[in-house]
Amino acid sequence: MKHSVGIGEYRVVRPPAVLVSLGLGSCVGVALYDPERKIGGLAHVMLPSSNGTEKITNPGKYADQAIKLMLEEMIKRGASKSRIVAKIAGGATMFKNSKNSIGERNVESVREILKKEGIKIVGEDTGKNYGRSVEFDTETGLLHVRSFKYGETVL
Amino acid sequence: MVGQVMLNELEKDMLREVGSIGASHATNSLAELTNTKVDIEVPALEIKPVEELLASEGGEDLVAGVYVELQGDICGVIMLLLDIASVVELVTQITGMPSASEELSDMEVSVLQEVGNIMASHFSNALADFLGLKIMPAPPALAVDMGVAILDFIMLEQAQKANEVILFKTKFMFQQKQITGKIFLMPDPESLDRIIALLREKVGMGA
Repeated sequence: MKHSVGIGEYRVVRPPAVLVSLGLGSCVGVALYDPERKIGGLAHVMLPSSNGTEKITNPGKYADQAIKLMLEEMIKRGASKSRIVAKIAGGATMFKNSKNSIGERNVESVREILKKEGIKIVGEDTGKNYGRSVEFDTETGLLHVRSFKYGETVL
Repeated sequence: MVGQVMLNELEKDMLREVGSIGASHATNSLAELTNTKVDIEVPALEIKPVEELLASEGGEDLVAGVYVELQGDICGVIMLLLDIASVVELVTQITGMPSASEELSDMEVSVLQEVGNIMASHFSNALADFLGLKIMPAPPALAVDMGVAILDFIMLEQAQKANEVILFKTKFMFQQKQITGKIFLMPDPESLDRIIALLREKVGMGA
């Protein structure tokens, strides 16, 4: 069963569910997984941080909020933080001549937040200049990354 | 006003008018370039959270996007979006040579960038004339990829500044040819305020 995780959303599930996020450009897909309990979550984050935001209407779009909330929900469902690992994809810069660096900043922020939380990144396909779609299989913990440029890679 | 775009109906009408002037100049330039009639739909003004706009305007299909940054008195982005079938038709129409494959050649890339450049310049010139401002389009850049990935690039920077963003959207289509495309204008929140203030002056409402 495939569940779509839209822009600015996050979702926590158990197998046999597969979580899908389509068309990550500057956005970053953050997959968290407890391999022993097979509890997995995927967030489709848009922005590096909610710092300085007066009114947070949709916490899922910020890297800091989405990761925090997803971890809480996974732990509530029985995952252990010490076992949770992360795989991340996206954060591209789609146009070469731009000063816009939101993709890079998204990836940096996700790495920093995971480090602070003590969660190891065990797979990463980020940056460059192309869009990616991801499928996170909570049975295997594998993150399938598809792009027009390179086809499919598995993290 | 950051966070939410609050506009009354009159302001929205005025903005649609501005968008319409820009879009018709842009498509006229395309019509001249290709020597074909190009129709446009009535321009739409969308004011929504970025995640909603991306969900409705994006998609996973392969599209070409020409991105032009606006600088000067008004900052923002103009983007031309074409599906791949339209890209192939358009390049053939302009160069007289049929495209060999979906993989674009260097020549085809420059043709597309030039099309985007011409359309964006006409769009921003019309805007600048109407508002009495100086707007300078930066050199164009091209990406061929999933629609939503291309659009999130232009929208996320805005999403940092405001919960809701404003998008001027115009669809155009060639008569008798299978070419359809969209042209987007997205002003920065501060520039939008400036445009609205100028429009108010124009209709004698003061700022």
